[in-house]
Amino acid sequence: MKKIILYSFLVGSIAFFSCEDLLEKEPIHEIDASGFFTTENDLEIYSYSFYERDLPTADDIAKSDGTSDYAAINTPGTFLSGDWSSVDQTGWAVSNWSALRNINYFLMNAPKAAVSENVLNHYIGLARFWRAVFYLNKVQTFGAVPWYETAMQPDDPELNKARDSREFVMGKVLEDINFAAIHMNETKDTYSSLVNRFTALAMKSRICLYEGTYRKYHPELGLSDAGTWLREAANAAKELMDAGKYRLYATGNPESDYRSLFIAEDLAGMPKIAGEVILSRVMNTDSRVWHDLTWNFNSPTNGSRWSLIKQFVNTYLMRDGSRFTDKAGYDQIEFYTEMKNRDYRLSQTIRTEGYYREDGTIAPPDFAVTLTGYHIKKWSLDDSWHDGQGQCTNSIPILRYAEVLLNYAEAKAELGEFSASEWNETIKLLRDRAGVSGSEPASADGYLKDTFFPNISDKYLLEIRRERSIELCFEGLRYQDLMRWKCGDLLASEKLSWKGIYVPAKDVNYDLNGDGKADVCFVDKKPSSTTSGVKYVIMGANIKLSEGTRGHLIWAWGIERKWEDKKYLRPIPESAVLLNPNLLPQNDGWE
Amino acid sequence: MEFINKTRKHTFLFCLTVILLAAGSVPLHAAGKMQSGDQQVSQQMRTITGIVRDAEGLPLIGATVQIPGTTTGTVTDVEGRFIIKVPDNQSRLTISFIGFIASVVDIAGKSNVEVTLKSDNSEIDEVVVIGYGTAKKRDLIGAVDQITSEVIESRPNPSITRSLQGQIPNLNITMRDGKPSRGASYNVRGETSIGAGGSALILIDGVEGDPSTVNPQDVESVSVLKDASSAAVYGARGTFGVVLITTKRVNKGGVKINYDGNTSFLTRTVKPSFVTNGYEWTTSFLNAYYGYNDYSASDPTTINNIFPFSRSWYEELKRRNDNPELPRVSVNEDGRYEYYGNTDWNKLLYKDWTQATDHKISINGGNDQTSYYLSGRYFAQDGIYRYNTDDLKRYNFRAKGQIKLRDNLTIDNNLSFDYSKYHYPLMSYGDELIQRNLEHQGYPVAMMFNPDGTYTYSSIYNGVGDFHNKTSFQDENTLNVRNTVGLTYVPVKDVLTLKWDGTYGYKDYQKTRVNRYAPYSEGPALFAEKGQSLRRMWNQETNYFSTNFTANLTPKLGANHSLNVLVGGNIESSNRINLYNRRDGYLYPGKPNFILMDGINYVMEERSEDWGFIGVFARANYSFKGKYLVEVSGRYDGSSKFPTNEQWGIFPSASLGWRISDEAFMAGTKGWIDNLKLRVSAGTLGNGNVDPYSYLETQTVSKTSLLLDGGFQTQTSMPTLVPDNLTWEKATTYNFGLDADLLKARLSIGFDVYRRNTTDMYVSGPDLPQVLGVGAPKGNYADLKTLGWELTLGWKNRFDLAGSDFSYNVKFMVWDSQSWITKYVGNEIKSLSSYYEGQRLGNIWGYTVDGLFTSAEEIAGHASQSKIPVSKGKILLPGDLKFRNLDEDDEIYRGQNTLDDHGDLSVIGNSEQRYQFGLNLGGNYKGFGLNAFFQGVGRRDWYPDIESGYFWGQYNRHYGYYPTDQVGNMWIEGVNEDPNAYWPRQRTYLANSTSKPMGVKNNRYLQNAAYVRLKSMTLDYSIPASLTSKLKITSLKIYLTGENLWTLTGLTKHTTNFDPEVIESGDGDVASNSNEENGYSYPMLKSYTVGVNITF
Repeated sequence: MKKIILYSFLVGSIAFFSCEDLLEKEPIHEIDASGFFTTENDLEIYSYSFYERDLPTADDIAKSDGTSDYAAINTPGTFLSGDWSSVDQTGWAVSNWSALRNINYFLMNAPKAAVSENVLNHYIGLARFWRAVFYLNKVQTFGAVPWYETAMQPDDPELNKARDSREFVMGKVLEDINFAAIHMNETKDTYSSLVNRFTALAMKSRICLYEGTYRKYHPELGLSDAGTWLREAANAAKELMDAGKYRLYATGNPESDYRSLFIAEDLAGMPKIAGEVILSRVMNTDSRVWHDLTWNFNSPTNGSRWSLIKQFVNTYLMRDGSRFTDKAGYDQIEFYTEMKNRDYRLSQTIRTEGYYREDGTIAPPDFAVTLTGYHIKKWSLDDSWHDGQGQCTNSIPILRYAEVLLNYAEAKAELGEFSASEWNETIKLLRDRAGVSGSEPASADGYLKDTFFPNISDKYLLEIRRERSIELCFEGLRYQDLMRWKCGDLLASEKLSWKGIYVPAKDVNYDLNGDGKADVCFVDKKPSSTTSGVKYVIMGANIKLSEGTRGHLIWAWGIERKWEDKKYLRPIPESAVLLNPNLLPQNDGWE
Repeated sequence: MEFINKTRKHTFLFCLTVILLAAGSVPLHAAGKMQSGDQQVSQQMRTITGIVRDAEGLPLIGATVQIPGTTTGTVTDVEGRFIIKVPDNQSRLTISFIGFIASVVDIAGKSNVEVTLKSDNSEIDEVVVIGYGTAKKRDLIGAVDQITSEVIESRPNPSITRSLQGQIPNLNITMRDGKPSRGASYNVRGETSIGAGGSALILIDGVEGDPSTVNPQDVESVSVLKDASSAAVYGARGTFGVVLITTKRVNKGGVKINYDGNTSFLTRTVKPSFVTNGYEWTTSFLNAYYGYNDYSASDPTTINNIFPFSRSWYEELKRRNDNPELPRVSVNEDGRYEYYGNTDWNKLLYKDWTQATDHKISINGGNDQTSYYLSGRYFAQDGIYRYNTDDLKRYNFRAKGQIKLRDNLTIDNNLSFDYSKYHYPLMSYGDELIQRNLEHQGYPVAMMFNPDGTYTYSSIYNGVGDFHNKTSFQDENTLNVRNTVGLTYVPVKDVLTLKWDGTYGYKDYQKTRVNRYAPYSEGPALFAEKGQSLRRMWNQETNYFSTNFTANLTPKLGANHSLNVLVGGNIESSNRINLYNRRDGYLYPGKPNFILMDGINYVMEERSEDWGFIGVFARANYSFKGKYLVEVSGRYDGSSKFPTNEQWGIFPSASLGWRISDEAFMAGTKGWIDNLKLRVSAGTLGNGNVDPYSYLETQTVSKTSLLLDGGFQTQTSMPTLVPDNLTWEKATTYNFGLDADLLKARLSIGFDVYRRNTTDMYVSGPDLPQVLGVGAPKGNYADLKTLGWELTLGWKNRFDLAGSDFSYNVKFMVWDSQSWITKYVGNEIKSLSSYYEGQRLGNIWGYTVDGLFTSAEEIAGHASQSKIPVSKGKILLPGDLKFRNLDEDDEIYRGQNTLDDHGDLSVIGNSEQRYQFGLNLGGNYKGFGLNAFFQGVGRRDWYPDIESGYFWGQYNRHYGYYPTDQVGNMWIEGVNEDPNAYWPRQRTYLANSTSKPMGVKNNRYLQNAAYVRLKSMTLDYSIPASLTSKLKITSLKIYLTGENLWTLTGLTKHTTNFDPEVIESGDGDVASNSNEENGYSYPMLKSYTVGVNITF
């Protein structure tokens, strides 16, 4: 007995060593990277991470124009009104660069997959599409940046390299977007949620127009090839237009067609809208993917109280094609009258006469929200339940065919090749949809030139810029438009004050939407007896009338917004320079 | 230390076998018998003389000789002699002495007695639990400390972890807050590794376990193995110390039933104090806002995002403040409520008192063949939150039994079962810390309810209304079941013992979070809801197996030689499955259940983690005459957590001991030195704490958060960077120790000094340019040195006080450690934002503040502070902080932020907890016992992190807390332009980022977080046996205990809003913001307990 037990202990102890598999543990819920990239499915599931990291958010699209010339907000940002330096600057963290590594890792490894060349090129094209978008954003922010096309190892000397020139980087961006625009497949999903060859063409027109005009209007760069870029922009747009796969959404209802694009939930069920939307960020009630734009744009507190300013609203034409600013005394017209017979996009962009919420309540501009009286409703759903809930399910267009038309028109005009036929292919289509007479202008618009673009005399160019700002209002493109046109000074308060509606007198009740009920009254002190339904806007430190007792509302007149030309680029962040001093010299003016 | 590869492991096994067999062939001797003392009696009337000696024949000086039942007595002289007169008929004397068992001497017919007193079971004969066995304390040569059940008894804590805090030198337990479910990692001897990390291995009856699952009543002893030598048999599992929790022995003979029950009343140790007057608060809010905006901005339009602000509202607020008769709520022309409150949100959030109950019962008994121990515990603690309060319930059961199958074969079994439930309030809309939400939304002007009884938007947003509404909560259920079966076989009695045990453990942890919409209204007809309709469930199931085998050989080598050889093996394997499910859309909000939901947006995730360990080990102790002690041990370890070519490591250690007190030359000190022993040890252990699979490049797979092509798509992305040469971290410990028992065991001293080198630490590489796009990969890049010491002083004595025995004891422990980085690859420029060679851990770099600016001229003449902006426009004004220009250049800045070029930075303090200490005081008299335990930290600097609103108040966020500590001590233009004010010109956003004047560390706001705390005090009374025995009760004790009754801390100099033990970042169980929001956690509690302990 003793021996049996003794031996069994010994055998037992030896048996420990046969438990080799005890020490061989494989990860259970992760994929071993060494065996990845074999099938088309591998390419496909990896490719979704590009969207996850880089697809613009609802906020990127709908709120960015809060920092632009045509909008007033409750408090201007520090970049314009404070003291900005490389310490304040962000956008160069590891997390900002990881999307690039993710793309480059894919580009290095995807060719391992056993798939046809067409399939491989489609996914390579997709990765390069996103790399072009990535670098466009970096160049727009910082100008020259280092170009990388591999997923580097920690000992790679390239990590410490100096910045590549803007010219070089944008050249690479063009190569990338060209590859995508040639090799990607043309299949379009019904939600407009995936990138295809046409998305690449549309993006190419945006990128090339940006770079072409930037080079043209920024002679200090010393780059003389603006024309080449503008040509590429025009060609890309034209190719897309000629392909006939996309068209403007127009059902013959000019008073509502435009806004339908921004409040539609399910593009799969609305193929005609999906026919204009080239790329969108999809929202869905059942999947509970949503945003809170309606809340943001209709709450006194949960948002920046984004409001259009009078100077910009003036540029919306009358429906007969005439200019509002050509009317006598146009600047002293009361809001209700001011809104009459204007481009139908105006009443689809801001609250005007006849705006009802879904429950039938009439909704005039709300001075608890709007600063100027021009209360933006473009992104807002009509159901007022959304005013307090972040559960809006209208999908967000990121790229629209309308922009392609505008890109084409602008590129052609900048090239000096714009004529009646181009007009008819582009601006006329947009104006027709908006119920505005599509005839060409007879002359350059003096108001537009004086107020916004004193350096532009070409009547077409002015009209194209007008059209672009109206059609794409609050779609997140305006700030970069100003940068490429070298119109940063429009952001300064001395150039464009935040002007609101015209108020003939204080202490008078005004009906803003013609329903016979008073909506607002501008006072110095809230009266002791008030009228129900009237909002009392108290003049004070934040808001005043331009003429004292009457005139235009002026918002935040106490805060100066400053512009200096160095602000066309942001400084390279201090934290980046600390780890790689070769990124110096700093951008001009930010040393 | 070399690592041997797989091919060499069989050689090692062979060696072990040889040791085992060789040891078994050594001749065996029988053990000698202890001698008992003789008594001689001679006859003479009235006067008795005598001598008192110890077991070794040495005279005992100062022993008490007494006539029983009287106060008549004497003490022995320097030769141990005494003379005493006794009545003729007196037949007995009592002889007593501290450290010895009192003896009653028969003097009938005797005039001279010689008395030998037997040693009490004193410190040096104490049995200490060590790895795979026990040892007498006198024979220990490793650094081992042990406490027994008495320090845990009468502590009404949810788990033993809180009771152990401060009781064992250099067992560092930091409880980050007062949450009843709070666990803690057990640290032994300071900084372990800046890489893989590592805390002590905790073994419950020899098997890894969670101390919170142990019924405190079950604990017999807790032993801590601190140096490499004592932990070597645990190899890579015990790298940074081992804590051995041993449950009560199974007793033979009779049935003993013990019941202990108590009830506690708990309250917060610290009640943060804020201004709750709405007008005062708002005035300060505006001042902070304008300070940041350089006094040029427009009025804010909101207080924070949802509470509108306007000048006319503010004026109305003043009017209503001046006239408290006016209502606090009105309705404006939009039909919205306007509030003018004076709300004390913290008072609404917390209860003043809460309660806990604890019942424990154990039954112990048996005979020579079988014996058993059964115990059960029910513990319940109500939370401190007033509404939807948290609620902990815990149930423990344990059943141990032993059957002697044959004379030399015993089988035993140990089953434990622990179940706990913890309910916790949540907010309807997400996982947020309520303390932070109150900072952001809990302004005094906001109110809890509207006049119609509905919740205000603020109260739902800040969470107090949400708690009151009770619809969102978290439930945690934890089940731990463990069974160990053991077999002990003694083939040769007293010489060879073989043991085997096998354990299966199962743990199921389930956490459910329910978020449901909460209703509120913003006006009489403006009803709305905030929140989400979301159910999440996490389920973690762990299956754990382990088996241990040991052979213990104690050959009899004669009187002078003693050898103890242990060889053994250990296998552990663990498999953990994590399931996570999430779905939204309750069909019936009152019935949160996955079936009764209709959201198509759901997530099901499964993650698993497997690991396995194999080790064989050996230990040999040899002692010569009990004077010279040697121990060598080693372990050969394999871990699944490493790549195949690095899986195995061998880890040896050795120690030496010398009992100087037994040397002949020390004979002269016998009268006062009972024991003096020197110990020295050295050893190396590998650290196996690396996360499994960390050496593999893996890609995670998940669902997109976007809808792509009509659905959520499966996605994967790039792997993280992984080094190709990963190897074990190693910890090498050198220990020198001294144990002494002096003055007849009245005084005991233990002292250890050690050095621990942790090498090849697995740390993130140096910061690389961000364009890499991924965090720098980890590698074995760094070495660390930790130096420390621990000292224990014990004193105990007893004497006669008014005819009754008075005994008391004092135990003071103090310990310390400091760490330095001795190697750090890759940070050659010694950037201060990373680790660097030579770095002293915990050092705080910061600016020096020279008070407040007093004039524009002073500002103009001072170096530029534009890189530490005070405001939007970076415009300095009198009252702002003036930073000292240490490097005398033209700006205040950190230079290159390196060790060589650190601009105006210098080391302003150190955040490590230094000179931790514990002090136990105890006394017993006439059935009364009084015990007090103080615990504390002797030195610690603390810089309140950014977003710590309890400290920074409105300097952090203008809409945040306004601490009453700041009132009157703040520089305010035109009000209090006091250059000596502690708080500078009031501006918001000064503390919410590390680039701001208060967010950046500086000496002015560095706090002294040292403290001493009366952790526990117990008064008990044992009812005399003469009374209880009639009720067949063996003993009956009633007790009163207080926990955390008194605290003294340097913090209170500038802030009274913090408990010194709750200064870490907020409660990570709810939301994690590492290194932010200090103090936003569950409050530390103090308690008053009344209890009873009965033994039948």
